[in-house]
Amino acid sequence: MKNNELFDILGEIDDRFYEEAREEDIEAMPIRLKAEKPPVWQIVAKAAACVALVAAVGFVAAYFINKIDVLPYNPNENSENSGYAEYTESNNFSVMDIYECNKELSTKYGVQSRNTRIMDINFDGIDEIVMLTKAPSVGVHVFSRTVDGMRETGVFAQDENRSYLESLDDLYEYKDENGKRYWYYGFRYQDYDSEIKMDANVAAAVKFDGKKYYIEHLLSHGLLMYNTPQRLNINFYRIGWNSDEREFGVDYNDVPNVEFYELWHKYPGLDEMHCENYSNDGFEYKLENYPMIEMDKVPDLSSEFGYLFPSLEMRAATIDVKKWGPYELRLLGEFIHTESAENPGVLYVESLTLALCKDGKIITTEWFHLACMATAGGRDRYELYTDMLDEYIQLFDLNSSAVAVFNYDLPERKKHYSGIDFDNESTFLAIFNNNGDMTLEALMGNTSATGGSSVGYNVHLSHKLETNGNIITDVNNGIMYCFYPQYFGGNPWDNPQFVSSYTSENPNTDPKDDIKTFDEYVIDTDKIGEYTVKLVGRDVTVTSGMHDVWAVMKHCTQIEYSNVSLVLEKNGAVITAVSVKEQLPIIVCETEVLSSFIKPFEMKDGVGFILYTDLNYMHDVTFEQCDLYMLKSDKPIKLVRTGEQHWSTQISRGAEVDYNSNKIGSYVIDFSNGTYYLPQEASDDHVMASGANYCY
Amino acid sequence: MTDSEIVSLFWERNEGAISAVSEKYGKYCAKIARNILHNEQETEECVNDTYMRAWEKIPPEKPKMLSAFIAKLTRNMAIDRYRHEHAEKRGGGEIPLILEELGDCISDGCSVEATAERREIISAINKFLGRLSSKNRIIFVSRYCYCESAREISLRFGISENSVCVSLSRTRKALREYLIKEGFEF
Repeated sequence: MKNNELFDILGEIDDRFYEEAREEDIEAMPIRLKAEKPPVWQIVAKAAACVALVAAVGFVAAYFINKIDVLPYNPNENSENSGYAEYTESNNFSVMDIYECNKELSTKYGVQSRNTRIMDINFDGIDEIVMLTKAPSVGVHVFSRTVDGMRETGVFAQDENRSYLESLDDLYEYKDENGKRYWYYGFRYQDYDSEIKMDANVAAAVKFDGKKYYIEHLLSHGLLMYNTPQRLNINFYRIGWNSDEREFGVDYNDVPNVEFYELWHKYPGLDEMHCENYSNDGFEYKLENYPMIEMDKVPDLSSEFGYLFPSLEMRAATIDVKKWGPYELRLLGEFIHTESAENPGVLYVESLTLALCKDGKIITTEWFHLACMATAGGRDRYELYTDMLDEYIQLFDLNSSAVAVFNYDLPERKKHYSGIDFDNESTFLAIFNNNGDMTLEALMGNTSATGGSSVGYNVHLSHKLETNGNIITDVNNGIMYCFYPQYFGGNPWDNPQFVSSYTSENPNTDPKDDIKTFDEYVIDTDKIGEYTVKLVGRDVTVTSGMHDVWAVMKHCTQIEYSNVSLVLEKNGAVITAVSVKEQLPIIVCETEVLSSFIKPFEMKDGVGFILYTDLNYMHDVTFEQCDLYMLKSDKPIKLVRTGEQHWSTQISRGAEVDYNSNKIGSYVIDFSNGTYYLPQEASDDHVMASGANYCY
Repeated sequence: MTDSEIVSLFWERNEGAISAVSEKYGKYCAKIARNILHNEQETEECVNDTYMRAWEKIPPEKPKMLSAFIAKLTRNMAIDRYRHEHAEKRGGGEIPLILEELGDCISDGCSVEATAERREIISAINKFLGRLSSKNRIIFVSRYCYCESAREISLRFGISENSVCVSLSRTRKALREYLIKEGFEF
């Protein structure tokens, strides 16, 4: 995915998030319609004329179709266009039956079926044809076979929203304890006004009382958000549902959440219940509401409910305290529980906050909520180990300021549980005087020297940290962090607040074993026909050790070279050398063996090779850019890409070679003029989609 | 006028719908467009285009949240206009910075061509955003949907620009890890 695509996709997120982030006070700007745009009435008239024309054509077509008795629809047509595609012919009904029903709908109500299903809608042992119409207010119609042919025998969901039933495929069969059967479905309802917002998940049933069909709302759960000064959010669990049932403090058949959970899960196919939303529940963020944690008072829940119902958990507690003069750095947790039956020794915490306190009060001006992202186990809770609760935060004195470290990960003994891919987080923060007020802020630094980013978070830290002046050393990883208090509080993009580098005692960069320096180093070599091609680097440094690749430490090999050439040999003798690359590092991770950079190919009209110029392995996925060369007249000749030349070329190592077509992967090579191209670029009509050429 | 009343005007093809939208959401649309285009004339044109587009789309659409519907239209129109005007140019405004920042979340790879995959990614991103704290989510949406600058966001929350940068950086990193865990390959 390209940046542009992600940017576009982010524009399509849920409407709620747009509304939440909307700022009310916006500067005025006069708006007027441009004179050169057609007035609205012209657009309307044009649209009406189009509709009339289509209707006229349809009318004539229907007339002639009726005359020659041909079905207007192909039963196998896409279901978006017809009501036929959702069924298979049964012993009871044929295509003509469905056609007749649809025709009746059209005649009586002026609508077509959008979705048709043959089903026993009322469980009388006889199938009916059920049609969900295109017009919501027309609803769902039931047709049965009578002596007079197919006739409409019932209708339901005729409200303007069709009771939120979008497809008959969403109906599931249910049988209760008394043996009574009915169809049910689930839907989501969201409604917002200035006072109260409702976000509900509802289970509804289609029932038949012997005479007519009706919709019964069985269960509902969700969130009511009140626009009070405290902006209260209340979760509700209700027997039945009504969108108007939202007045604060009124009991609308609400039941306890755990009891509701049992009821909801009697209906398979409904959306899973999500974690309760307890943000803005009226809780006051005062230090007295975060007593020091007492483990025997922490609720012990089952893993099934632990993260699902925060209302069952301990609301808040202080997990750890570190002192710095008159100040305290506290690690505050919210929504806490244990699951001793499944995971003893673990404290589950939904969110953690670092708070700077003094004299019994929280003085930070900014809340630093660290809501946990999904762990490898798929649950939204931090897992803190009760025998190391004092290790998650550390505090280092830099005289006039202090650096705090928040370091969250699983202890070594537990890493087999989640494997290497688990949620971890380590962050530096500073306690410093910001224009007269002591404050707490996260820091951003330059870790590019140790494999990180130029301005971003540091690499994941070990728990063994030592300090000396403004430098904090991660002893286990052999990395020094030098802090610049004069830049605390400033824009880190202008001046990084810390810079990392390797220590001389870095255990992973022992010059004897892991750093090799060469005058000349053969990076890769391969035979192509009678030639041998070598990729040779000069002034090369090869480093092996721990590198922060995407903020997860991995054992990698890094090659830095200042001058790379392609050397062509024939019969053991060098016949030519071509400079191909300036200084660039290549990081090869999770393998001790240097990967190849040359992939030779032989085709009908010539021979050549791919030279991979930018290589990265990560999570078993390869990202590679490359250049293409052909061998001609004892020379490696770099091929020129025609078409969109500013796109990089990417060809996977497994790309197939089509010998006769001179093609490798998606690219075609023209040996006669030393070019290559993507076939779609050869067309003048081709419109380049953003990033499309990156597929291989 | 409530959103449902305005939408009803659209459905009735009542030209008063345009005036109603303009009165209620004109400033809102202008801000979104201005964040992207940084040009008053283009902003005005973009907002007018938004109204016309809304007229074309409603009906058959019947948005439940008109504000978000209009916001998305405006954003898309402004971005299209921006890309058209800046196809060969670089620099200026927030968009190049925003695109560069979003590179943290992704890497070069296949484009999202299939509609179904695109829908899945949107659904996953929605779930991810739903898990964030309200503040971090608003910061993220303000930056990447409303294209506000870090400075504007910091003023709105009364926090430092650094704090905004930190929040955005963390959320981008978490988004990337989340999408990879959900099986979206990059």
